[in-house]
Amino acid sequence: MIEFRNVTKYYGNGVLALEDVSFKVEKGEFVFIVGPTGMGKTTLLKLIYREELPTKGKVIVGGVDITRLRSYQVALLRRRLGIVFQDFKLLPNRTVYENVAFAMEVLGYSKKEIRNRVGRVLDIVGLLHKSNCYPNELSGGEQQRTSIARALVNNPPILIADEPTGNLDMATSWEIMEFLKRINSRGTTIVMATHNKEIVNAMRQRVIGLYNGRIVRDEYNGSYE
Amino acid sequence: MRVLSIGYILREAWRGLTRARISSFAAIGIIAFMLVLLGIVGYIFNLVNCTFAGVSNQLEIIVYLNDNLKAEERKSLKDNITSIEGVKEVVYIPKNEAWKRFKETFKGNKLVLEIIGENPLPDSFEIKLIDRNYMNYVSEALRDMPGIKDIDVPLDIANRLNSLIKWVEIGGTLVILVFIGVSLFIISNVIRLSFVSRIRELEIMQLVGATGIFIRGPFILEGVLCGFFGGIIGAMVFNALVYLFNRYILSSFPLFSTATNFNPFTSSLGLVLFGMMVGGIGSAIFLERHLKR
Repeated sequence: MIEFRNVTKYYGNGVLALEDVSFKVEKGEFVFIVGPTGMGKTTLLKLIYREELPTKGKVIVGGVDITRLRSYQVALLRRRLGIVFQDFKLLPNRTVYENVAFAMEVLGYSKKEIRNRVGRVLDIVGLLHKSNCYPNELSGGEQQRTSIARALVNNPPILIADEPTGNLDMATSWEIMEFLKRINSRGTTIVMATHNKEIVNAMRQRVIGLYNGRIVRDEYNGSYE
Repeated sequence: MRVLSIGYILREAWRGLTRARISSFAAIGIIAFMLVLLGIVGYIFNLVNCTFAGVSNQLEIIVYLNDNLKAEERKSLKDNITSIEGVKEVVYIPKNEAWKRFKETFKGNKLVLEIIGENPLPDSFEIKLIDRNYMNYVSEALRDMPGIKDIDVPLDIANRLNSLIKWVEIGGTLVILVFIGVSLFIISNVIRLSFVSRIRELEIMQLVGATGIFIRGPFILEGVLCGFFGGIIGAMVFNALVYLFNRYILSSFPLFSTATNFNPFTSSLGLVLFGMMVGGIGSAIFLERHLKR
């Protein structure tokens, strides 16, 4: 599903973010990318959704070398990815419903289809009753569930999550992880960057450890350290 | 899909305009203000230009006739002159009439009239031209006509006026161009600033895989709408100002009020279209800066 082949990434200012990184993620896997802040986790995710291009090497998503995509093909790639961020990236002047619907509206879906799918996905994340609330009326966990609903509404085969629990307390983090686990069990491949030890240790999933831009370990049923 | 996307673009543009009301109002207000200024500059330019043109088009060629010209000779000469290209009107001034006017002009100056004594003036034609540019051509054509004693062509004044008009045109065009540039800069920046709060929207659009028209359409249309409303308001204020100016100020200066080819409809249309265009350009600049790749 996702493959990195000898990927090296330097930023314009000469900072080395990733060095000779290679790994493969199969369909339906749940992978944690762990490591201290500034070790290349976010860069690795950005390379998957083509926010960044590698300096060297190849990134293959769904069998396609995405380093060679044209801009309209990047849009097509992103429709197959759901992306969740630490800061939720919700639009403050739109309701929960509108925030989720937005991801479908900009792809040109009909109102009817939008209504059906947004309703269903809000039901999954348990926010149907808060459809008409604005983000500032929600708790952090609810905001993150809204952003997960938005990421899932277009049925992507892959979900990318960059520190999705970074702004949440422990109880709420667990709640979010329960959702992600459930989504993963329905076949969605999940790649999640985190430095939350307890979560990683409790989930017993594949763990890829990054240190100074290099993969220092790759373990199935792994733990944080 | 087509119909859907047009509906989506209209809906989103309207939503953007009405949601961030304060920044939309500010943008529309500033656009209206700039367009009013632009209209005023254009109006003044037009007024000055038309005034000069009006004055120079009032210049006449005077033809003095031979003393012994018979009535039918005079008639055929008048017809010949009238048929020259560029001649608008030929008026016969008999010597008595000319003398009357002369005396009228020098009414206060007894000495001049005493020295001259008898009426020395010949019969003459006053030739009005369609416009000043025919001055040379007509005076050339008159030169070889029989029955003419002398021709008085205000060529010197005409040339001076012509060069003055040329400079006014160049200067006015420059001022207007600079002004268009300035309003383009200000309006497009106002639009851009009113969109700054929506960079996140743009970012999310790209992250969920929206393409070209779905991202650009609503923003461009919103900018165009801002320009449109700014243009409507600006045109209304501008026309009101022109009306007041004409009514209370211009009417006391008959020299100016002679001929302006100011047309409220076309100038309003121009302002609205310019506002829309610049609004669209402002949006495009915003998108260019904040859309990745």
